[in-house]
Amino acid sequence: MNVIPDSGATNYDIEPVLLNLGPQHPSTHGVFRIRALLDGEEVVDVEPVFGYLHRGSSKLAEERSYTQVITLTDRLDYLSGMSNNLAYVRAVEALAHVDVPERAQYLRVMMAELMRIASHLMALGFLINDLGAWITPLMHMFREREKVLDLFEMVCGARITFSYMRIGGVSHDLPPGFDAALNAFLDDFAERVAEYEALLLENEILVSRMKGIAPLSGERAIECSVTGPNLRASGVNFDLRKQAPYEAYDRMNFDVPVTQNGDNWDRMWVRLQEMKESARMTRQCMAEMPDGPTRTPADFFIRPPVGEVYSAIEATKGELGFYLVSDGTIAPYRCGIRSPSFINLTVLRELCVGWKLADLIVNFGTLDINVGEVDR
Amino acid sequence: MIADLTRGILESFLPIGVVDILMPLLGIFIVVNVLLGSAIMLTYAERRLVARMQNRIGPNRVGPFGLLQGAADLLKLVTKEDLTPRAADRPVFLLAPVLFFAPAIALFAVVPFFRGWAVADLDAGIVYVIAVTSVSSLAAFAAGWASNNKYSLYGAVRGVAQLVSYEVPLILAVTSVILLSGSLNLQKIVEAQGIPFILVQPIGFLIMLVAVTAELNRTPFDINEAESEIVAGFHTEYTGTKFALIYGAEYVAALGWSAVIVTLFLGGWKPDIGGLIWFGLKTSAVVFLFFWFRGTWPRVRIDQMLALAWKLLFPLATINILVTAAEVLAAQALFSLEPGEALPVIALAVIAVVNIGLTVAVLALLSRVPGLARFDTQLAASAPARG
Repeated sequence: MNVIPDSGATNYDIEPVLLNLGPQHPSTHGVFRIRALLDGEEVVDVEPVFGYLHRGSSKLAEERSYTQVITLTDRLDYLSGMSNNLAYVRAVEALAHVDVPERAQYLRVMMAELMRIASHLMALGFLINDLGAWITPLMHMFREREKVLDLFEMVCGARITFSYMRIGGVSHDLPPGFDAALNAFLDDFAERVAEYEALLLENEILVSRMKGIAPLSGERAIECSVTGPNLRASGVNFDLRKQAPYEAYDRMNFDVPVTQNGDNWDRMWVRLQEMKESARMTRQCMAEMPDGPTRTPADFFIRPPVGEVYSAIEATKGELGFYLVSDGTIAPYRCGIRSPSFINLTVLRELCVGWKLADLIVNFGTLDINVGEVDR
Repeated sequence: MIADLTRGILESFLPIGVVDILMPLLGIFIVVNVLLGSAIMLTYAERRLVARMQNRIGPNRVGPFGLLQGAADLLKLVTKEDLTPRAADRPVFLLAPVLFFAPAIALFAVVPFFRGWAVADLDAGIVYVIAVTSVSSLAAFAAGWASNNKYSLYGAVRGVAQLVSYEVPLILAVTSVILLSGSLNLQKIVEAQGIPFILVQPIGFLIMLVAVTAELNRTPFDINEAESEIVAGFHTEYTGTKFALIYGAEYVAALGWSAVIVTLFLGGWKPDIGGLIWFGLKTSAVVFLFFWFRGTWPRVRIDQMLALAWKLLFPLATINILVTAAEVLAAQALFSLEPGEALPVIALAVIAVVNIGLTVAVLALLSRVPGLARFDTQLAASAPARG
């Protein structure tokens, strides 16, 4: 990371302006801070500053039992709690060799995909908010997200901090009436996505603000460990749901949208398409879900054998991995988190340098980071 | 009629000389206060309308349907602590909101509200409008510079770039109207509109609309107060009453420019029945357009905005003037009119048909060339890889 010279910069004929964006700024997606060095409107250098939302999740996890840590993972990326739960419990299950009943696997996939819809809706809404469309698209996308959260509330009673996944399964089976509610949502959602596509993809201002802006090559994306929709927008067809299927993903029919340019437009487009695929998978889960138990009984104070494990899933923002070390006690000895938001930020500087200040905000928006996950 | 009555009452107990001075002052008093009241209601109207577009309800708690929300907000702002940053250039910082507000009000001096009535019926009315409104951009620059804040400075610098670019197409669009009406006087321009000039000058109207949107710093050209980029632009550091002045001035200016657009293109107070009603309705319709823009579009980038002004609007407006001038000359020769004489309705109708045809052709060409072609290739390039 380049260090920005202090105000006593002398190696410039014209001294660039150091503009501090955040942590209190309308478009920093929480409390993120960017120190941007600007030559007029042009970005010369960018230094992300984070840690304003640091809760010490990794350290807290070392003092809690394996089951209690699930509640901490809700708060990592607070826009996709289900995915975080899933990534964590999968790591514990791998460590303790716990099997998951088939119905629970389908339930997990269904919840993770609904979560992806909700998370991508927020990503797109805030992105277009950053583009200056006030909050019109954001409010419309909030509407759909509320419906997803209503479904989650039916299932587990919570809207943000679910803690729905349990070691060996899920906490509750589906409540009566969920089937109808889900179908009503999916039918409505198909229309809404068509509406978003019509409104967004054919908007001339949106095209001119995003098409060709800040391209990221596939090679560079791989070098920087970029994952998730940002990687697939750069033409790399890599998705853990396909490459290393987990839970019921090997039985799902879905396409992975991949685009070649890696610019802002493609990053937006990929997310828009992924929502449609997620809706498709959710419908398939509901149709094919077998009956049976939803949880393998496991001790509340589970004591995995001594060992270590790294387990990753394709979360909403990329590869979310948990690295757990067990010393045979009820609490993990070490709980490392590979958060996609944090690692995707590696490319922030090279995406922004040379573009305009207005582009910086949009490039940051298309990376779709969540500060809760960056700082952990 | 009311004016005569008031005059009679005043003359009954005051010397005529004093009444001569009092009458215009009374007119100014009424116009300014109606404007301030309208600005307060406009903030409410915008919030309610845009809330509808955003699938929300909007303010509905203060008074019936939330109608008193604007007044409540004003009261809140006026009673707030009035902060001035320590590093600010104090005199300029305090002067800027007033400088920003005054031109917005002064603009209304020449607007003809109904037949034969404006606060000041200037012969060079339209020149006055353009001159006075330029001051507000200067004030925005002063505010941004004096705040001693980088966000404000960015807003100020962007504002100047915007002003320099969009004054040009704006004036050129106005010129085409002047050519048709043969007068700089707003009353005469209204009277010359046998057919509303929006039909005779569709391109002029569109250019005017775009340029005024930029002039008002409204979406999609709100780059000098771009919230997601530079927080609030030139008025980031303003609070309390000073902020209320700047905020209110934006609405008064929106109202003022809408009134000018109505006067120039939508037939002003015509049809001459029902007094202010027609003028008010037309102005509201144009103001609604600005609200609609705000509820719909994202913002353009500064270089795109300048490119739009210089590469598209400027040449288009210039060509438009040449075409209009040729048409007016032909009409004058055909109907053997003196220069400056208003064109008859039949001549306007012929010009309208020709110009609408030209406009449709130009718009079809423009939407085909830079936008849609690029969009089609994009879709082809982004076909999903099945995996």
